[in-house]
Amino acid sequence: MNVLPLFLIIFLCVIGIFLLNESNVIYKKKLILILVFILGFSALLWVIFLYGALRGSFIYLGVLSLSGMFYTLIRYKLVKQ
Amino acid sequence: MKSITIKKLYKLHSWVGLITGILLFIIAFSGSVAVFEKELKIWSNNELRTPITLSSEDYEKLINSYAERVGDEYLDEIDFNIYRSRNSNHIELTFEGHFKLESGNEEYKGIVFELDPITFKLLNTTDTDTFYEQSKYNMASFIADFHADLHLGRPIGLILTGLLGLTLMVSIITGIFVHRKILAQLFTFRPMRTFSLLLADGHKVMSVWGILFHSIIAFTGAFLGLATVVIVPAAAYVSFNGDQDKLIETFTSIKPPIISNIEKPTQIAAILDHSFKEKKELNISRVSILGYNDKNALVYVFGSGDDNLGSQQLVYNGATADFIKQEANFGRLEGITGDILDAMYPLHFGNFGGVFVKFIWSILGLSTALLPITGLMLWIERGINTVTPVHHKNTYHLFNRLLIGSCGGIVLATSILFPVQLILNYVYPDSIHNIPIFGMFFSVWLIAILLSLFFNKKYTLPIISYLTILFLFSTMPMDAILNNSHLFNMFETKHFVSVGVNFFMFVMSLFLFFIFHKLSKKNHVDKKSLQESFA
Repeated sequence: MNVLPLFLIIFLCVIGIFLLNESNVIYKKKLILILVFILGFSALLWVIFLYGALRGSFIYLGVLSLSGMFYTLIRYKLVKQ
Repeated sequence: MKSITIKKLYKLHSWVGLITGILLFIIAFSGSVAVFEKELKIWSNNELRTPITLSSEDYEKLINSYAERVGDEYLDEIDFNIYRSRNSNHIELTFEGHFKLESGNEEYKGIVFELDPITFKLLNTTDTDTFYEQSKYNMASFIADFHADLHLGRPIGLILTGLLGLTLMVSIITGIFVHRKILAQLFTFRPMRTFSLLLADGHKVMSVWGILFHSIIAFTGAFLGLATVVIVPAAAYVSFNGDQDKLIETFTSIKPPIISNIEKPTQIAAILDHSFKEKKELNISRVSILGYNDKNALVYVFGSGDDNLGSQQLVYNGATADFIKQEANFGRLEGITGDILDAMYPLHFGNFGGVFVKFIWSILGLSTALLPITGLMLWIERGINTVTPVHHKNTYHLFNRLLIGSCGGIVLATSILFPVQLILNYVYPDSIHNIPIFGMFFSVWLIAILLSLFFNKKYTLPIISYLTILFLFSTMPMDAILNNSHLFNMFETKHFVSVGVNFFMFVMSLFLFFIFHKLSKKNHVDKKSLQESFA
């Protein structure tokens, strides 16, 4: 089991989610939105490379859900600082 | 969408949550523990803690020797488990044959031999009916079965859990329409404002981010619950004149060979060697031999854990040990149907990518469990604080107590199983632990519910929480004292899995203590707001 690449994949997802949130890009900044998609997509490709297409896609789904959930739940602390 | 339709959907969302919320928490919470069934099974069985690998020759010798013992009539199908997969604490050899009755029908009979994995001493001999009827529970299999059918028996329990999967799907769909500003609320979490906002934001964050996961769990859960009791009989009724066995035989890929009656020894050791060496990534758990010592014998080697999502089977020519093919359980189905059916179980339990994926599935499963709880608490909170509540205020208070007792109680009852299992293993190592495990789990759960119903939440919630923390915390030192299994002799005993479980319980107890302590502190600071929320 490759733990380190998986942590890196989570890290990529979190950066993507962070950019998505901080720039309010969904409605405004297209360039950052593209960057978010590139980060997310490269994480997806990586996990597919590690686990195969079907398993990789579902693992990516789980990682993305978890990263987004945790990031949102701890975000208020970051904003306060 | 018209606002009147949204209101109707909101009502449906609320009512479905109200009716099934507590049950959904129980199922989802037990599911997030059941994800680690294999690890907990190893932890619960002292015999399984140290990995033991038997050679292929050992298996061949055992099969040949017991095949002679049972006679030709029991050699139609031979099954045995691969001990290193650690699914059972004994080597189990099953010999089956079919016998013609006077009425012309056929009857299947089988003998099961249970052997010690180190000495190969025969421990027990039973017939297959008795063997499969007797359920020897440990805390891992107890929780896994509780998740599957709530120990209500089959089919009632399975139908209930299957229907809960369907109601979760209804909640998800209505939730999407009710909370239309999903993207705008993607990052909204305001825990420091009011308790109501904390609940509402938490509910939305967990539901929006985990929406695909919740949908997968709901769909696969509904399928697994209803498949054997509703879908298979219905499909058999439509296509096979009600013959369920024929339907299963058609769709699954194990096919018996045509017996040639030409004797040729089955190459068990060579086949096992090939599968162990060539399919290293596959965790091989079981082997079936059809037509033992016949020229046309087929050997099926079952395992999971390679690049495929579902479990796989390797098919060998028994006489020549030639590898024929690898396929999934529903590999015979054309198109994507077989893949979907094979994916149901691993997608539901997250056992397709190692422990790391299990952790992800377990945490996301906890978020599925927390969804109905936050929704119900929101309903209670709004009901208590509104000037004109829909129901009497006492109804909300009573529901709140029931929520704490039943949901907190199930967490407490699960946590007490850890020290109970250790004590049972130490005091009654050779006995069946079904009664004490059932008794302890359900009595603790009942006591927690009664305590919550009759005493103030101010006392019951801390009692349930701190007892849960205490039971989890005690697991590691208890295991060290009773079994001499701990972090410092881990490399000597090779108890990596069980020590990992102990360590996880220890960290979990500290984490829960930290969370509960913080919440209690917030409770003091924000007393006014909480007093309005709960009586």
